Amino acid sequence: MLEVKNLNKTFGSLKAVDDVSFAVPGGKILGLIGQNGAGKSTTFRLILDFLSPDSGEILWNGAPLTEKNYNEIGYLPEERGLYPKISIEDQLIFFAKLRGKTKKEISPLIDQWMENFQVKGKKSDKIKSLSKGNQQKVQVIATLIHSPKLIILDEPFSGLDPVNAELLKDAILALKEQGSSVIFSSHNMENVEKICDHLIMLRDGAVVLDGAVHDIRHQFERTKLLIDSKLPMEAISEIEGVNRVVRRVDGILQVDLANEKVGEEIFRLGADLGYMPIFSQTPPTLEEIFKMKVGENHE
Amino acid sequence: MNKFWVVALETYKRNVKSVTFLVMLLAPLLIIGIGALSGFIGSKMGEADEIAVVSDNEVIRQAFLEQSDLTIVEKFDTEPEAEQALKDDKIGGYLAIAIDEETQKLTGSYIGTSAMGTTDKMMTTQILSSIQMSFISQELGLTGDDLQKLLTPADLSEKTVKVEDGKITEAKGNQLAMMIVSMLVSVAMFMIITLYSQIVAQEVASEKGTRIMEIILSSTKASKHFYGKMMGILMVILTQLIAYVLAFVAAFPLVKNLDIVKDFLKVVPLKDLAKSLLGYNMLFLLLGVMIYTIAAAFSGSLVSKAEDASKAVVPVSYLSMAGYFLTIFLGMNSPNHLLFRISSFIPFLSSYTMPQRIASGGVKDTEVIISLVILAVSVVLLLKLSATLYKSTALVYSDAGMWKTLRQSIGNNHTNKAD
Repeated sequence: MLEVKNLNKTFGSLKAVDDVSFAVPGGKILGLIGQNGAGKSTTFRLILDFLSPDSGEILWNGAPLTEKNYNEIGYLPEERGLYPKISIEDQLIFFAKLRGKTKKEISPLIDQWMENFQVKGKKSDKIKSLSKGNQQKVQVIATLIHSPKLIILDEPFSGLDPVNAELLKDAILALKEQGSSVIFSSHNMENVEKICDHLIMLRDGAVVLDGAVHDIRHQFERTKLLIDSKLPMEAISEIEGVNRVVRRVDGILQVDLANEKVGEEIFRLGADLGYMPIFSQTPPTLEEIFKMKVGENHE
Repeated sequence: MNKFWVVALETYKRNVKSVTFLVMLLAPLLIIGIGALSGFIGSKMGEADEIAVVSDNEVIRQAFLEQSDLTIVEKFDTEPEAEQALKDDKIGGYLAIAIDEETQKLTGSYIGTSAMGTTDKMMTTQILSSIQMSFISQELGLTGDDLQKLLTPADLSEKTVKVEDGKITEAKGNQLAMMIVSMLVSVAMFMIITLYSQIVAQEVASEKGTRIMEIILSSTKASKHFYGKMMGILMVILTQLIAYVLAFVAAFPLVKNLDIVKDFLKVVPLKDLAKSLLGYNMLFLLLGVMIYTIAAAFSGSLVSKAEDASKAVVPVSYLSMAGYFLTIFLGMNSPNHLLFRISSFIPFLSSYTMPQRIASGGVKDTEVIISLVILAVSVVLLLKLSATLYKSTALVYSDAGMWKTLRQSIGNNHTNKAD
């Protein structure tokens, strides 16, 4: 279990991390979201002791995280880093050795991992001969192959296509099953929504959202409405409490409501006109919440 | 395995396997090889022109023909004939020897389409002198013994002594051997530092450029990584040196019977060379290489891109150059100059200048030891300092200049936990 308590860090006059606290129990996944510069990478660097906090505590299983625990860490930095001139195999073995594994332990696992991630190429290929996407997969394998207990992934999905993002998601979920604590940052809310148990949103270094993904969404009213009915667009937009109506390319109307109650009126009006294939009233998506939170107090 | 060794062996493996290393290993051998080859070609292929030798005095001409090993066409024995032969391109030139009957002085004049070779010229002068001498001695009525006496040069003996506590003691060791070894140490060190400072800085800076640093620093302590890296590089340097020792051992039986090598070994026996090399000089060489390597690594850690590494090591190269030129220009001529004496205690410079002072004598053992201790302590301090600053410099991601990075890293270091 990773615990972060009242973490603070300033760079000059910039408050990079502002009283951030969270915990990631074993077998749980924490998603850290926020804009560029919100303090995500700084938080990771503080956890990993690359930077020293001004105040606050970082505990791993109840004790400060020290060199003893380095072998249990799997860290994927935001910008990738591999030795271009050595082979995939040598690269993976070197990083694993740095995590206290032996060549004997790691060598037999390499083929399986490369297959799981569908890395194109042989393990004797030099890193620089690989495509960017494949290099990134090698980087991910290097982060996970030693079965770390604390996994920190800084923007793991950036640069991966949906198929590969799915492979990575599966790998993260598998490690979660093994009881690892996972913490990752992302811009892609869809990934966050699918695999996170818990979510933290940072803005200007401070926590603005904190909770289970489902709970967070349901803190908000059901103000998002998708409707496919015989009601004309103009009629809907004239209803009081409707902020905005947009027709999507597939013909379905997307309606922003001032409050949940307005939905009931629209439902009644629509149902009066007959069969209504779609009426879906939901809280805002994470992405919408994200955009809302980013905008708050900013304009 | 200890992570220190994991890093050291990885660094070693990566560098030794590189093409650069192979080129570096072979370059000096190639240069020596090319030098030897061109010398060989020069001596064997330098087909001398055929020449004629003419003189009014047939005795002199015969004496010259006997002693000279120039390619001489004997049939042209008068000056007009020789001149004609030269015009007809039958010979490359001719040597006309004249004798002043009064003073018995010989004058040789060479007329040819190209200048005489240096060796030929020297030999010709020598032969003419000896002929002249025998003429003069005959005239003076000197016997062979008299001549021998006249020709025997005076003796000059040289003995370097040590003055210690007001007493004169005999200096140990072969002066010439020590001189040669000190030169060898200077050149070797200069070469190693020139070759490796770049590589070391590159090694450190390139990791920062690729952000491998963050992964490494989440696996092990920065200082451990830094020490491991230094160890790896030192192992690479030692590998190269050992390769040369082996090359020397392998080549020695082949060259030891060459005249030039024999003559050299007569004056400077191998034993004396080895004795001189394995003492203080070896320590100065090793510690010198270490201190420069660490300084180069530290410089490399101040830049964030591999391309900037060459700029970063410029100060280190200049320092090395300063030590080298001090030895060459000042040390050779006046090893007791105050400036030179002072420099032999200053780390970075002392590895160059102290061996030179030892070789020229006039330095007390205590001075050498003090200089060595200062150097060793500096190596340790610089290593510690670099490793400490490395933690923060390794993770400074800005494009800020070296000075700013250095200041930042020192600043950060106050707030960062001690490593």
